[in-house]
Amino acid sequence: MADRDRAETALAERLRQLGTDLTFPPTPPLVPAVLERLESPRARRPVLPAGRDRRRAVIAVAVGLLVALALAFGARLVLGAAEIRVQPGVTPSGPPLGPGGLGEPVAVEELEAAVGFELALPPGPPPDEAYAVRTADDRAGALLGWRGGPDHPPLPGTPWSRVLLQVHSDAETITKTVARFEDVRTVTVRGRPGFWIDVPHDLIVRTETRFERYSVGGNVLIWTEGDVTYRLETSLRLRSALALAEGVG
Amino acid sequence: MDTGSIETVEGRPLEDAELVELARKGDVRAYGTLVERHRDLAFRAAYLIVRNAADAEDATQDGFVKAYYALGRFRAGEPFRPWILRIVTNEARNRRRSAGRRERLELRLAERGDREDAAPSPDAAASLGEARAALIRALETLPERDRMVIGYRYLLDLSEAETARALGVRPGTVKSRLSRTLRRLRAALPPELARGDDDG
Repeated sequence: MADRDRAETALAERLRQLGTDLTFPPTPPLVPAVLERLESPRARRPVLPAGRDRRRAVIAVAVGLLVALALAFGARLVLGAAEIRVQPGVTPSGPPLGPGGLGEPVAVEELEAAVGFELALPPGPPPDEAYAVRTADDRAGALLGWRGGPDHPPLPGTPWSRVLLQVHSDAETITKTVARFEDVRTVTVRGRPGFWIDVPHDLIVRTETRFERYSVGGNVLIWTEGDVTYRLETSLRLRSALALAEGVG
Repeated sequence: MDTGSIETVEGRPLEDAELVELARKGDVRAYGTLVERHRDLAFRAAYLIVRNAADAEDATQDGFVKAYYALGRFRAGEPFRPWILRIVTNEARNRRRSAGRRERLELRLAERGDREDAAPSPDAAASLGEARAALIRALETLPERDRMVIGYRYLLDLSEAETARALGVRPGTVKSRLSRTLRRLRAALPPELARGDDDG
């Protein structure tokens, strides 16, 4: 064990040394090109307001005024690429989110190369199916499905017991519609706010050109990590779902 | 176009956070100073992913332009360097995916003649060169996610925290991936290098 640690420390040091010995191509003078693009009259626009801060504020207000907002029509909560709308009387419609209609499954490694960011996986077995999805701002996302078994009952209408959707986007790609604000519970995942919904509800996945409506019968946990928004649908209860989410990485 | 760096009235170079604040208010020149300060590292990070200078330049330039428009989402108090590296990294990944090609990493070793260390004997120099070449070959065998974590952490000498932020993963993930990848690298190296008894 000590030998192995010593060898790995030596290897790390050799890699560091390699970094100082390497010759990268000369860095181009980027400043003029970048400034030219920023100063071009066509491209110039004000720096966007603090979207993330605004979202945090929206969430904070939503938590504080949950009861009051429950009475409001058309109110919504936003977290990363997900928004939750409250529409009294809404009943879920559309098919469940399953393998049908998602195109051809791809290998996880291939999917990771396609989406352009590192996929986060929960501990345990790898997903049984993986699909590429597009976001509302035409970026790539990934949908991973784990098939159900004796210990993990499948979600209503699907062969999967767990579905993990991850999208790298600021645009509101995932819209969930619930009947009451009380249906949405604020939780904390890795120290950051998240939402938990354990009632049947509507899900719309939006791309740049169209949207797909699904009915959701499982329990859903939504959270963000960096620029990625995660949506986990599972038959697990809140405590187990939170434990699973904490291990996603 | 004046692209010189911005200083305070006391002549002190502005900190990244101060430059970000100015840039957020539309001061493009302040942003230029940030670009100048971080372009080397950003370009190298992109090069490790796209593996050719032209694509690395495009990815870096696009990354800096996109970052400017995203400054509103930059969290005050966070370090700018890993944030911009994250954006450039994503640009480079998207570019490589669009290009759909696999190029070998053309990393060259610098001439060691200008180093201050005592000059090695010809045999020792050849051995050092071979050891480093073997290391580069072994790096080539790694899956991309492992090569990136090694590249950012050791070749670019980022801290674990910076590597995590730049790659968009948790610090614990960087730690475990580094450990696993070092083991893989050792397995791919000739035994005398894997044991760590080489001085190169």
